[in-house]
Amino acid sequence: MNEGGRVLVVDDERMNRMLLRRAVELEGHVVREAEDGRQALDRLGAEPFDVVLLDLVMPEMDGYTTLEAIKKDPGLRHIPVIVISGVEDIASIVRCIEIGTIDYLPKPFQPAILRARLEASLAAKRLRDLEIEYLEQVSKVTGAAAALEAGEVDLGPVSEVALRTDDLGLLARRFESMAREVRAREDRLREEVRELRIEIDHTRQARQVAEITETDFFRDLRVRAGDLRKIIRDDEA
Amino acid sequence: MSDRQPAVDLTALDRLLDMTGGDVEFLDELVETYLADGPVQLGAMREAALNGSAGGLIRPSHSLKSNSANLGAAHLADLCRVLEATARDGVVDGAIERVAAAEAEFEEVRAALLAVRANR
Repeated sequence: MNEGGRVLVVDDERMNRMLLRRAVELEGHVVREAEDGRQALDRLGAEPFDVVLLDLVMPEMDGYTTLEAIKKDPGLRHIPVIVISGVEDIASIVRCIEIGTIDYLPKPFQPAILRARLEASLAAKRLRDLEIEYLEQVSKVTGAAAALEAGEVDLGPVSEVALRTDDLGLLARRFESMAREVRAREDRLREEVRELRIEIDHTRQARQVAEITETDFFRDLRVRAGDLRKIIRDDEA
Repeated sequence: MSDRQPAVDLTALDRLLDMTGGDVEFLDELVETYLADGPVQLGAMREAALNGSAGGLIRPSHSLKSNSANLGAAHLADLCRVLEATARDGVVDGAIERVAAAEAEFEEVRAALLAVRANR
């Protein structure tokens, strides 16, 4: 059994909202209400919904305008809209279908038909949500691969994808382990380079010392120092 | 008068009750909402008819049609349907008489709904 959906009921008539709310809630869904198109768009912008049940004849903003606004908005256009209206002429029904309603139910609605349409719409919405989530997670893996190529490794977003049990999850886990290997190899190389640098520094220092100590001037200084030490020793004796 | 259908189809009320999970209180609330809203819509319809405003007739006729149909008041819903359809065509001739008929029918519907509640 699927968990309940979030349904927005848009109707200026309180009676219709009461009836739709009751019918939809009895099916286990969560219902929010809007009294006209403007309120509906505000609600849609404020919280996520799975289906909209939309009346046509309303004050402020009617159902046609609301439907157009929903279908033009990239963030809302994937939400299924079912028009439930007492407007019976064919031209209105055709217009709604052309704008993008998924279905058109006459008032008074038949609960069995509403239930069937609602379930079909919710199933379509869930499928679409899964598709969007999948594409987003594919993008996280490809993004991490591009970052890795650029020398940056952030496995945070990929770790989330790696929790999936499907092929994408497998790909993310493989990527994660390969990226860790790459990072470990880079760390090792960095350590080797550091050690090599220290060795080079030592050699360079030895060479500089040698360059100084092997000069005639230094040799002369050492002879003089020896002589001085001898004089001091003789004096002390 | 006597051969006409009842103002309210009781099977529609049973269907509503069934649809709402047998919640009688909810049905009563629905009826109260309808009885409170009906005169408001009829007032707007009368005003529009008197002013010869076809545009002003559309919304209240549409609302009362829809609400009446929900409660099984088929005849009143039909009267409102005609008012809405003619208004959409821009016709207001005869609107005053039709609104008067709707007002009279609304009283029949009110009496029928209150009787249902009293006899429960």
